Amino acid sequence: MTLAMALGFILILLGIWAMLSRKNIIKIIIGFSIIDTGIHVTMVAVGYLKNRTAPILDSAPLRSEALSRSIDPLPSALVLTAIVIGLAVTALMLSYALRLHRQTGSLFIDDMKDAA
Amino acid sequence: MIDPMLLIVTGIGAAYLMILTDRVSRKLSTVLFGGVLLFFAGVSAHYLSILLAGGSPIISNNAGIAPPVGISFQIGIVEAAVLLCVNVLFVLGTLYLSGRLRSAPVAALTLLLMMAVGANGLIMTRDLFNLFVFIEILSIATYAFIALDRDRATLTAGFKYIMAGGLASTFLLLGIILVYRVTGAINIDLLAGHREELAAGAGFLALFFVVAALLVELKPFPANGWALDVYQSVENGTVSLIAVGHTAAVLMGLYKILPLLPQAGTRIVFWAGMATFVLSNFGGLRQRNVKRMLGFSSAAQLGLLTASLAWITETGAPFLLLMVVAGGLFINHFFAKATLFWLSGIIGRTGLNEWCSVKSSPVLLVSFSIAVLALVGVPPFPAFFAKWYLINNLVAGHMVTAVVLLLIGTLAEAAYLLRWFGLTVAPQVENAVPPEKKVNRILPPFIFSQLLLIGGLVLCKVYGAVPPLLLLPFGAALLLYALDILPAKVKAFAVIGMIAGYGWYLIPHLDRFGVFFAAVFLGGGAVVTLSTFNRTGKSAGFFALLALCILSLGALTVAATPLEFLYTWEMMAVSSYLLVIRGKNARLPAWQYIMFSLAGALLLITGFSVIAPDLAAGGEPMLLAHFTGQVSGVGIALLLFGFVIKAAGFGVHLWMPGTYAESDDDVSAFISAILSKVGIFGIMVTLIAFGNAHVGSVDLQTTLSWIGIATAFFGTLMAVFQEDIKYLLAYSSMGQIGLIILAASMMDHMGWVSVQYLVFNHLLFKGLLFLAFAGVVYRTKTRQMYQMGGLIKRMPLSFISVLMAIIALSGVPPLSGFGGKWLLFTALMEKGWYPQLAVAFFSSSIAFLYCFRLIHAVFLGQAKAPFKTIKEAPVWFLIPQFVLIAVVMLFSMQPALFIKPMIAVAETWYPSTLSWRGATLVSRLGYWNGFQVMMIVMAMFALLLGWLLLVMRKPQKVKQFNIVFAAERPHLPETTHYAHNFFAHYQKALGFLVRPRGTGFWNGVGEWSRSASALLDNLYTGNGQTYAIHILLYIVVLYFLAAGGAR
Repeated sequence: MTLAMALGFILILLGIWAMLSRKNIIKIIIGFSIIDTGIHVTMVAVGYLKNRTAPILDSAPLRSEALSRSIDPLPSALVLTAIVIGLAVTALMLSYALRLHRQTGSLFIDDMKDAA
Repeated sequence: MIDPMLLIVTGIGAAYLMILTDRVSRKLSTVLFGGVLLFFAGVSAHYLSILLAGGSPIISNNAGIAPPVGISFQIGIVEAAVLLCVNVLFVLGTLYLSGRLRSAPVAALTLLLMMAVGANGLIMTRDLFNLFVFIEILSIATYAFIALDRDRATLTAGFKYIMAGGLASTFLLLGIILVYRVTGAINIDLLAGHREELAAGAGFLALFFVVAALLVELKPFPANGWALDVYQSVENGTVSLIAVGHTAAVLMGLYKILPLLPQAGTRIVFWAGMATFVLSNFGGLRQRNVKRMLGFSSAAQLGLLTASLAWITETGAPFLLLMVVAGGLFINHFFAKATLFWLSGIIGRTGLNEWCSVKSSPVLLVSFSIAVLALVGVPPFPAFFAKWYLINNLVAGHMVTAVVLLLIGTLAEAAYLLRWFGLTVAPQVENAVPPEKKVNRILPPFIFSQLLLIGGLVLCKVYGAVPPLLLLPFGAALLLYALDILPAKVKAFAVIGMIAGYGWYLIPHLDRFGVFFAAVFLGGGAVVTLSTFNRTGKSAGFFALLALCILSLGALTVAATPLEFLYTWEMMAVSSYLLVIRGKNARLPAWQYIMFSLAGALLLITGFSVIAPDLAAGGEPMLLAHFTGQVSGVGIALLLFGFVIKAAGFGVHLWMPGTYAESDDDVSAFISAILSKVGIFGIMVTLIAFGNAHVGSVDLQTTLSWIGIATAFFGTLMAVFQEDIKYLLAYSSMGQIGLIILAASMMDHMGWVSVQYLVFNHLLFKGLLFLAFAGVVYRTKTRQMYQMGGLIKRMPLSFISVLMAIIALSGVPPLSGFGGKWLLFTALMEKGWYPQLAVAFFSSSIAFLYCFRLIHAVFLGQAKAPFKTIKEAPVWFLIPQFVLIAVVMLFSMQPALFIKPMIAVAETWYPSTLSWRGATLVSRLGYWNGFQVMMIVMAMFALLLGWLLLVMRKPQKVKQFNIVFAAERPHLPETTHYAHNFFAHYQKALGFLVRPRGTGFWNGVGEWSRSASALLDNLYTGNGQTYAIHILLYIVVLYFLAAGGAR
């Protein structure tokens, strides 16, 4: 377990804590963003190999020895997708927050118990 | 061959293009949109047809690069079938939503298309990360689509949905990346080579996160509060896409990943699924909001599906089992739930008792009935087969707790679904607001319900388990339903014709025992059907159900395997339930009836499985022939108890009086005279096939005999104290059936001759009584005996049939009842069962009390003013009565004609102890000559009559209300009538025996279930954060349970 990975997990836990303990929807959404960031850090940490460089094959020596000199490229590729998805979800949540505020005049999660 | 990748490309491409084309015209976008969805459906149908024709799975590597570097799609039969279902759902779902979509921004179309793309991709992909991406595409599109509706409840529910989905995605993504870290692979096929690393430690945790995330998406109890709120609040067309489309795709994800789990992991998924199934169904019991209730039911169905997938994966069961169990449950849930959510939008009401407008259109009614009955799991719908094979397989795997949970959950689900069904279809509820009737809204649920029906029938054929002989009744019913516009008399005639035709068709397949019961069921059924000629109008649907019920009874006698038997049995039970519920006040009794029936049927399935799991699944003929394998006492006990429920044995008779009494009058006659014998038939089948056995130190034969005795005694006693004529007859039937159970339990020659004799005799006199009183009730419009009286002058023909019937019932000479009593008591004496004999004798004697009352209170005395001018019963009630009287007379004068074949039937299993001397039947203890007895009694009667006429020259007439009150005013008008509380003195002496303890017990069961349901409901606070905590705790607890198991 590298430091980065530990940091990632700590961020995830922090985010979950924020999501569960804050009552303001915006803060809950920020909690989600922190979780996302934590996961992204973890993902990058999984692909990281010591003393290697980014898997961007822009120079000849790197291209020929990519296998031994670059880090694992797969998590890097995945994390890009994950970031995009995270962004979309965050945006969607924020627009929900906006609409909810328009409808209910509140951002307090305890006010959102309509069903049940 | 079309590359699967093309589905994704066209989908996403069109989604973007539509935004552009919308600038030109909405029509263009709509055409594009519809075209792509139809293309999806067409391609998946094409895939399925290739695979069904034996093609190998379709594999496509993206950009031509194979894993591990590239991403691959794979479509086997399972994937193709689910793809087709989901894409058809999107086509019809869009049709359903078309009204809303027309006025919505083009984004709505884009989002719907992206939902379809997400679902398709999720089903096809073999790459874990790709799976995550498609789940997110599907979910984000769904969240956004929900948000198009600006309604407050919708938005709050949608936000909870995002929170839950977001949390699940967190675990999914974390799990995937950790799986990659441990194994270095994210392709599911490659991961299969890394099972060792995934079985423990970090690998297990990683994989567990993935599985747990998918489970959360499938709404497990209790981490499903968000889903319930979504189901309740979101618009119906959208909910149906979420409830079945979204979950179908996620389920496929789980299906692909489950094989990677170690055994401890699949086991925990199994139990999690079972827990969800039971607890969600309990949660559903108390719901008053239809959509929320359907949410509970959906969660439960998904739980059962998850559990069955886990079980099949763990045991490595054959592909066929996967198809039958998981496939059956899936199809059932998929089509039924979509139908119901769609209907919910059409009806526009969410109250449990506000759905009666379904009845305003046969199309809606048929769709609704099919969907609800399919969910309950009765044949011919797929869930019936699924549950049958699942129980079978679980019993074979010794999963007793799981079987018990499955049975309880199934019953709880049936309880609330059928209560809703009753509230909707029962005739007394009429305050309907007519539903909107737009074709685009009505068509989707109708098509789906028909697919469910067709799917079920195709499955019957594919499994090969149900031969055409047994499918004929259903065909007959469909035919009659198609001809429903004809007048009632024509249809009644058609039913009789069908019965005759089916009987003729059955003859070559019957063995001796079958001949007897086929004669009772079909012959009796035909005679009782005569009374339905009295129906005026169309009686929509009635004759189809009647035909289905009677023909199914006939089919039972030729059912060879347990599955065939159960299939036909449930057909009969459901059709009779639908007949009963047509009665004016029959809603509650019908509900009790079907609940007890279903419980009995589930016990039967379990019993058959316990006795011989492989036989029960394999379809070897085993019924009505002696079974030679090792037999488990528990299995036989379960079967016997299941049949005793159907026969309304003491303790489980709660359903019986109301069912008999509150049905329509002709239906009452049918149920009491014919249908009540089916429990006896089942008991006989069990005893013949498997014989007697012991459970621990309990001897089943003796136990059964005492159940019979108790039923006879308490049934008869309760009959004595009834004021309502139909309740009296109902309890009287219970008493008589008790005696027949006793006779069956004897398991010797005379006992079984008595069974047949008593069954036949009861058919005759109970048919007579119910039909005669049907006529009386029809004319007097009351069922209270004290309100009648003196009807002998107005309804002499009915009087004659009642007189004949009670003589035959009470067992006094000269009519046929005497022979029955003689046989039964002789048999008991020969057997040496003196205690049973004593009680049987006592209870058949108290039957005189109510017989006397039937004649005395109804026909004798003076007629009341309103009845002075009433007419004789309708001719169509009288005709079957006189047919029955003719048979009674023949049976009484020439018993040999009937008893000889009965003796021969019983001789198949036991050597005869009866012999004939001319027309005299001789046993070891005595002899009986029906003709002689008849002559002697008639001579005595003539002598007494002569003496009476001689002595009674000047009788003094007493006026009806010639009663003196000693300065005491009666507090109720009926207390002035001698026939009210007729047996008050006996009530004082024996009444304590008939206080309704059984009712109290069953009410307790209901009350307890409702309390449990309320307790579960408290979990769901409506707060998104609480739901998030549920999800987290759920995952943590599940992990510790799984890790504990893995160690």
